[in-house]
Amino acid sequence: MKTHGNPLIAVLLATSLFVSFPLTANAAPLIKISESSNLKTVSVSQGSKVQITLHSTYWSSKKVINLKAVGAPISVPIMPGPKAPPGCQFAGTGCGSVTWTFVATKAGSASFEAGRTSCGEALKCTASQQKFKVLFKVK
Amino acid sequence: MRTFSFTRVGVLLSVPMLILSLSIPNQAIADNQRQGQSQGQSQNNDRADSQQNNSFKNDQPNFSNNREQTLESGMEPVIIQPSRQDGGALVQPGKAALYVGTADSTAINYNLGAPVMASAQKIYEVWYGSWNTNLTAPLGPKAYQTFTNNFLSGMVSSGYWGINNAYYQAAKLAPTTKNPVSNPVFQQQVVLPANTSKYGSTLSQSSIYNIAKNTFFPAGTADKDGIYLVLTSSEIKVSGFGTQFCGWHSYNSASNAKYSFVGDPATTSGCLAQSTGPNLAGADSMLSVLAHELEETATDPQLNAWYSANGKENGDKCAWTWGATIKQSNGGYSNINIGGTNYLIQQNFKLGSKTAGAGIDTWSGTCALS
Repeated sequence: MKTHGNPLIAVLLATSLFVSFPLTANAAPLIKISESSNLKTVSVSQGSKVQITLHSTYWSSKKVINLKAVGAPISVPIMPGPKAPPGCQFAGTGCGSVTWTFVATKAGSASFEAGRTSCGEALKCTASQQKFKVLFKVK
Repeated sequence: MRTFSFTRVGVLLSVPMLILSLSIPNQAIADNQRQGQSQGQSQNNDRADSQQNNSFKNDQPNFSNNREQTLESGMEPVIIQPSRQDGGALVQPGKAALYVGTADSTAINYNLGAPVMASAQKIYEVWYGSWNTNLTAPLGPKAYQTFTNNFLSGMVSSGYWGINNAYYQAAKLAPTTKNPVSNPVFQQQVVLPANTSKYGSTLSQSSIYNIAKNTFFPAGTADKDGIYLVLTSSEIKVSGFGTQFCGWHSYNSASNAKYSFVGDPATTSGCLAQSTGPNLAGADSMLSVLAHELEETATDPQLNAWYSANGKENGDKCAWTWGATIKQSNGGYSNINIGGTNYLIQQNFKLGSKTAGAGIDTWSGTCALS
């Protein structure tokens, strides 16, 4: 076949479809944020979708500035028990995650803050463990 | 060709986007940082003596039925002598810095049909480690045991435990017929030095379960009303203690055992409420965690009855919250007096009003001491 006779064209065609796919599927990039972004500034473009996932069900949103929520936060608890993943066998550990999704609607600065009061089963939280905050520079 | 033309536009626009995305720091999803715990439930056939009943009496613990135990092959038997600690005698001078948590006032749910401990819970205690040897002045041997059991004997009939009596079990088909949580009674305690136990001084969840099993139900079927406590001294290492938990309770469906671990936090800052307790910082903090685990075990023994949407049981919702506190002469804070002794015990989630749903009762509530 002709196509098989010219693999370079086939590769270029496949590459072009792959590379151009983001333009046709969804123009807004999805920025994924987690604990590693705590107290850091993330640059995003205006209109970007920001997905923040924190890995304990005990986190709750405290303050959101210049971010528009997309739906309600999604909590995915991991139920305790012998079949739970390591570290999650006990009730009260808060195993699981909470995910918030926002759109960075305004150019300038934006921020998200979350808090929690428990860091494990009957376990104290240090001050730094109780807070999560990420800043956004929206261009 | 159109395709190539489209490709060029795609590449031209995608490359800056790629550069932009690469310039965005820290957008990777963090790994779950929880440390692993052994999930195994290994079995063995070690033999323990049978138990004798011995109920709490309000503020008058009766240890007369504690007797010599032959727990494991080759270990030295330990006899727990009846003793009594004067109220507030475990005092050490110093300054306290009280840690205060934040109450979670969101609703708690009861899943209709799930059990609570509606019969009197029987408390079985394994004091694992150097409880009889390492306590220095002003503490003497067995001080923790006596202190703990004095507290429990008074707590079970106090308004503090009364909060748990409002929790209940009910069938899905008869949701208004409620069977409330009952009160605990003391059953038996055993001291098990680590150097005479095959489990040694580093414990996993499975070894904690097996310590309880081999001590109290070696045949493999637990007392259905039993709560098996494994209480470790400060030199015993339990993976996750102080970093993932200060205690926990769990359930083994094969043996029907409700079992719990609480460690001595004297040397673990993550589990210490204050540097100087109203009695002794380590013992006081241990009691608060013990109360936490007992009230959770009583209301959610199989981990399927009472908990909130984020997974918190009643004790979790009020962990490290104290309500009004009183500063003691030694600088430590207390918040409750039971049997003439001042303690610092975390609050519990007191049920308020109910909203009935499909298979679930949803209760508002607040953290309280009675």
